[in-house]
Amino acid sequence: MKKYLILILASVAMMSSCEKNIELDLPPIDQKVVVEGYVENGLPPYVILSKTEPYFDPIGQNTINNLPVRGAMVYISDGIDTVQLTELDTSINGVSLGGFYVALDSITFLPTMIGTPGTTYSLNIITAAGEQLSSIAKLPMPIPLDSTWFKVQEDLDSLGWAWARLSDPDTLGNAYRWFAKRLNKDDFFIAPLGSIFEDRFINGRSFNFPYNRGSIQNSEAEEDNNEEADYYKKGDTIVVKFCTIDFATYEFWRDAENQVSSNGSPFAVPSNVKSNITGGRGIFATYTASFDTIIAN
Amino acid sequence: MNTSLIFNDYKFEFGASQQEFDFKIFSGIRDYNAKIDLNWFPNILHNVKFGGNYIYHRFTPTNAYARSGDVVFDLGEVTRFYAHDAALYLNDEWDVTEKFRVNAGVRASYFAHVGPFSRYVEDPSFPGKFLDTIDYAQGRKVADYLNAEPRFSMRYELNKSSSVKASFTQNYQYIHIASFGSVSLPTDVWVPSTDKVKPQFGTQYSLGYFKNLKDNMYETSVEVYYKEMKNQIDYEEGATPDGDVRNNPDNNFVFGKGWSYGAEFFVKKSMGKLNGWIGYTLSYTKRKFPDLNQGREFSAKYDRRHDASLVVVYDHNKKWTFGLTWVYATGDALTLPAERYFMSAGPPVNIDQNGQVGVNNNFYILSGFDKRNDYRQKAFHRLDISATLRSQKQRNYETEWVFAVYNFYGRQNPYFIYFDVQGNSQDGNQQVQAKQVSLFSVIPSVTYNFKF
Repeated sequence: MKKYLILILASVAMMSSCEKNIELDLPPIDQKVVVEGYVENGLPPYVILSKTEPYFDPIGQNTINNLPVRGAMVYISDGIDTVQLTELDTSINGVSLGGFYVALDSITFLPTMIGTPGTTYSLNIITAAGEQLSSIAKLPMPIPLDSTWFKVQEDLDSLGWAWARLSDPDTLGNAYRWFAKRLNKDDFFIAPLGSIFEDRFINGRSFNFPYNRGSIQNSEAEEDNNEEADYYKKGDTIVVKFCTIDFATYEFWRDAENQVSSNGSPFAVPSNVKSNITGGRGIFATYTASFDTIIAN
Repeated sequence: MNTSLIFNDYKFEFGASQQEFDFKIFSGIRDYNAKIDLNWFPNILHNVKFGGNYIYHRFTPTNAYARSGDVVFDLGEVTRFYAHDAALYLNDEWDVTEKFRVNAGVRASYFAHVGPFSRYVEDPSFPGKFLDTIDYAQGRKVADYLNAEPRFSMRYELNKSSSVKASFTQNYQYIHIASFGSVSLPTDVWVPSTDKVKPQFGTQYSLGYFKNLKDNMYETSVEVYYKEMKNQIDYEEGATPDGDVRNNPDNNFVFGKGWSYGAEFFVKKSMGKLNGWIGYTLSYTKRKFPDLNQGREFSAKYDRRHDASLVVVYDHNKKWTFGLTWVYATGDALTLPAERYFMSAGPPVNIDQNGQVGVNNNFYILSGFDKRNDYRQKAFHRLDISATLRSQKQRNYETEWVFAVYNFYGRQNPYFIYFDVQGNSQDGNQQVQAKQVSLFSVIPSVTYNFKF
């Protein structure tokens, strides 16, 4: 038997991968209606309607403002009453609320319906173009956090995460979403990526868990790009909006956050975000919020 | 007679930990294999082969461990599959006449999925919620399959330089692989046939014409084939690896069929200083699943419309040999998003417990998919060249220098495509850019071979 000795003496292997921008030529699409429907405890339900666009169309300054679906008839029923939502066409902070429908009386602006935990709501939409969409979702009962606190992360002297203790009820199918904002720093409640979880692996347990500080996607703010990124800081007053959500809302945000965090990576599964909307995309979401305040010190 | 005993063990483990989080996934396959092969020559016209083999499989599909803070997640028992896999075969190679040879055989295969096993029974109206588990004791049968797999091929010599061949084969496959993304990853899951996963069943027909030219200096052939595959498996749309945890992976599978057909052309020159071959295959590979792609047929990931290769070797003299290889293949079929839409990352209207109102202007760009595997990556092609310098043969050793360049013209073959979201919604300049990543540009190398 012959024996072989092979020596690779020199190989200038350029192992570094190379990367280039490419243009993809995709076929035209049928635009679909996108529903963002919200029922929150204590608030009048509201719905925002917009349209999908071809994936690689350039996004102009006003794209977000140009997509609203106006002139639709939007109805919400709580099983006893059915109300038609009133279309508002205004903008707040430069963000158009066209295609914005809310359960307020069109003259008195008093709520015509208020989200009540334990109630199942159905949504029916007929657009001006005749498209019909529908959905059903239940506003779950509140499950507040047992306690919340701030803890400095090991060797960082003033930076840390927000912690909470939750007792999950002993019934499967509970799902949660975490939002938080810093008083006088954030304008709204921000959901960090990974904001949702369900109880399949933690059913009926009491446990502590941390959340990092969320930021808007690709934020250019300094604190989101230096060592403070993801952390809360001593001196922050953190308001936590902890929500129980229905399972369809959980599934939608699980898939949506997966899409956003994988950014079209080849390792991601190319599939649609699971939606509870019949006839379009989006989500008829329910949130039952409980609030806590953490003073970080 | 040839008898062998084989033991295989493959294990995979991947873990990560970061401050408060710990995470580990593991999978593996272990096989105990025994086989025996025998030959029998009843007369000069027959060569009969027969034998059998038996394998005991132990599959560990993806299992996980995870911890966050002081919480160790309840990910269930480690799920495993155990299976008996046995087969007997008989094959006769029969020279019917001088010009006509027939090869006929049959394989009887038996596959049994046995306990210990726990079947999770999912609530059809509430995925992720389990109604029950059915437990099977060690060695108890969960499902079994017994099948006959016939095979037949023949060759007929038309004359000294040409012949035709035809074949028909049927076979069952009891071990399946399912992957999540468009790239093979350790999260690919190997599973045996179970009560849910029926064996894959393939039927293939082929017909070929073979002709040698110029006193056998050139060998040429044309072959056509058609293949039908039943009980193909894939993950259901939207499945993610965590769906396999505390569950049976096959609860997340969907089933369909596939078919493939094509033609192969081949020319080979095997004499003279300059030799080599050219091959070209035209093929179509399709899939159809009721629960994927809205029931419409789609291209398999490796549906290669064109596949060509050219190999040339030039023996310049006793010392120098030059080689050239060129390959070309149609790009992989890929699913790309067709639509995008914007969603506010939380309720747009924010009212906190003090009645303070805010507007959420953190927007996510989401993707809408329509047709599966409807986009093609750019074609893959590459030229490699080499020069080999042989030393004079010594009594007990010889040496060889190989100078080679891989991907001579530096083709940037696509490895994968991803999308980069740039800008943010607050500044109103969010956009998506597609990027193609390639591996390995030009790679020159020098190799020294020493034979003794």
